[in-house]
Amino acid sequence: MKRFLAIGTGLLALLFSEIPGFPTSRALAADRLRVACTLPVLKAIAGEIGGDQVEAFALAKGEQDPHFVSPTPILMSKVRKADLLLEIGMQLELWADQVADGSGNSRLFRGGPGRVSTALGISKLEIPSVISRSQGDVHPEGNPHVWLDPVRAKALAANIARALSQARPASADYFASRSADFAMRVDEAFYGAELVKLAGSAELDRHVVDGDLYRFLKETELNGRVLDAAAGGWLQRSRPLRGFKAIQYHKVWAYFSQAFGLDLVGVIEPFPGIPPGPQQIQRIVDLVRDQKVNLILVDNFYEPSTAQGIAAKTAARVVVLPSQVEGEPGVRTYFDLIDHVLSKLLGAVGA
Amino acid sequence: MHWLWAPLTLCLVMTGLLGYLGLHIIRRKVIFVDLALAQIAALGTIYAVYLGYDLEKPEDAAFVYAFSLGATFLGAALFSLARMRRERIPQEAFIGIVYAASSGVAILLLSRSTGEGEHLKSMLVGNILLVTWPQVLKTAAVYAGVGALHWIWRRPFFLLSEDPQGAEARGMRIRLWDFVFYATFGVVITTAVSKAGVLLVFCYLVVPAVCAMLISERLGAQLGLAWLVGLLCSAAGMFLSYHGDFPTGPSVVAAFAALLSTLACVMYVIRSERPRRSALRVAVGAVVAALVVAIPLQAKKSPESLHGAHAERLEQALFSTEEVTQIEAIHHLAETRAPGAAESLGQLLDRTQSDRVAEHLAHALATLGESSAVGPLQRALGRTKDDYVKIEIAQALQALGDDQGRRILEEIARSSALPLARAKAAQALRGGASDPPPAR
Repeated sequence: MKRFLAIGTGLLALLFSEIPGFPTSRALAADRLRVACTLPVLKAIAGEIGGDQVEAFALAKGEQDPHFVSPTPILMSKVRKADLLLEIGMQLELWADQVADGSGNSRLFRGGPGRVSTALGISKLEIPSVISRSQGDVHPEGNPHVWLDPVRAKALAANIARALSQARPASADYFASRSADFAMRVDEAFYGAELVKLAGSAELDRHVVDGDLYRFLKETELNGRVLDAAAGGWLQRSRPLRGFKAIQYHKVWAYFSQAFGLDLVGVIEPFPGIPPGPQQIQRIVDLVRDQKVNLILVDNFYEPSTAQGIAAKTAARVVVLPSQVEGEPGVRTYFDLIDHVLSKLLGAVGA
Repeated sequence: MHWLWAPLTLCLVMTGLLGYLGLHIIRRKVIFVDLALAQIAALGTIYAVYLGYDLEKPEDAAFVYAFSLGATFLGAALFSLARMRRERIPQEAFIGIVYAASSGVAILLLSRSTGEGEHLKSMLVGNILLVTWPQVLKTAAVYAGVGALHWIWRRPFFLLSEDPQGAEARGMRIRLWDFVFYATFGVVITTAVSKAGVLLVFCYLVVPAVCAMLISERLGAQLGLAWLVGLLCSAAGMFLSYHGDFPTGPSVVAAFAALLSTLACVMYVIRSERPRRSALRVAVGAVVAALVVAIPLQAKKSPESLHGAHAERLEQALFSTEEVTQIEAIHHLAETRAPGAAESLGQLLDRTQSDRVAEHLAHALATLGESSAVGPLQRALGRTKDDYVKIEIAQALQALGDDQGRRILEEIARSSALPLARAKAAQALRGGASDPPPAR
């Protein structure tokens, strides 16, 4: 009898909790941190770290160009009651300021306590050199597409965990353990369990960020065996891509290529939105022919016709790739994203 | 650069029909009708995409094209209905409203459609440089067809453009003929815009016709002149684009603008009753214009002045928030053995939170070989938990003659959890060369 009563009350509670406005459901919802994320990839990582303590949502859609999102009233109202606003920063999402300002939620204004630049402290690529001043024409803060390298994605996750803990110190341990768990899963997915056990992920991470992981793996021997032989996971899967030459439409794939050993030799459109001139096109065509470039990487939100035009004049193939979580159907987690991009690239090189 | 022939040919094809249609458009005083029609055609395409058809899939292409064409015809019907008998509101107002409305609706639809949205925005931009021969030939075929229609019906079309009241008095069905005109016009515009972009198409339509009308009042002469202007500007624009490595569309537009303004000045002087005085005015105007452009050039900022001296910049780089910049400066200071380098690097080692930077610093300090670095290295050793960083620091200490380095290496070789770290420490103890962290 007692058990029946318990089940009965449980069922009743469940029923009522479905009714909007019923105290229990409202209390639950209020109990969660509301985390607005500019990009779906941040939403995916914030969800991994936040678990059931966090309600994360993304402002941009996965197939949208993250540089250009219209700051609509709906986005502003979504952000109005958010506790945190996560962005990559590095002037990637300039529209986030307008959304935050329009929401009237002053905690999320630039410099406010709820505004988090998740790329802070992450080692960047394409920062203008202090010595040679090369790349002086590009963005002084470097290339913002940091999440496409699994190692830097772990650093994003650590930054997000820190921000969540500051917003809710009572759950700091929970976030820290979930962040460590996410990092471990990324390590296993990227390096494979055996390699992590032999060398430790911190050392491997530094070699990735230094851009010499593949030299390190090939030249280091342990017990008479090359370290590379122990590589599993994405490293193992992406083996056919190593050293493969590719050009990109926009500078999006620098971090990905560094992590997976693709050799990026050129950019079709050095300035966003300005079509290349005839000599630039001829240079790219010559580059593709001389260096036997096989792949032209185009983000799925860019117009592919310029890349296709260049492919038509050469033997290279255009691969249209999502650079975001939710950028294509079925890409729901961070792991899906890297898996999916690798599958597409491997398919294009015929491996 | 043999592939430049395809875009040049397309320019000539466009000159052929757009130069002619421009004479109509200007007579009808509907200058911006092409922009409105192109926007309506784009709206049709966007609607097809909203319904789930994919621009990239070949099996959907015909459907999407049908939508775009259908929308164009709808627009043609709108414009033929909008002609007012007694023109109380100018037709340009109506055209502008259609343009604004169809742009607005297109953005509304885009905000609700998944995917594609972003490259539809660039649909109106076009890139004439990468046009292919099949596209050029297809355009030429369509234009030949429309051109033939306009040759057959040239009398009613010109009567309608020049004297609509007279045409109506003679019993012509104005609205029907207007519809046929705008429908053919729409087909021409839509085909051109998808390849060359709105900007360029507008110029091909309006500038040659305006130039021709400046010079002559006879229709035949105007047509010949329009073609000549189109031809010259296409060639000049291509030349400018190739030799200056500029985007092609805007180069041709610039050529049109230059030719039109020159021609306008020349005609002003020739037609003037006092040519000398007019010539002087034009010359003064040109000088003023040149000065307006040239004077601000003197105030051009030089990028050099933003940075300090070389050594100063390197010292600043050590305080950068970016790891990459710090590491670059570390390597450079170690290589050049700059005076005071060991001291600055030691200070950075005391500051840094990053194991990666610490690893690079330890290696650099070992290279510099100054004993003042021992203190910071020992403190860094106490902070880090990473065995590889400890190995690097221990080796640096060894190189500087500090005995603690050896003890740390022995400890790691014995008891690290990581097999590779044990092996590396053992190798370092045997005096093997360490693996230098790579420079940027």
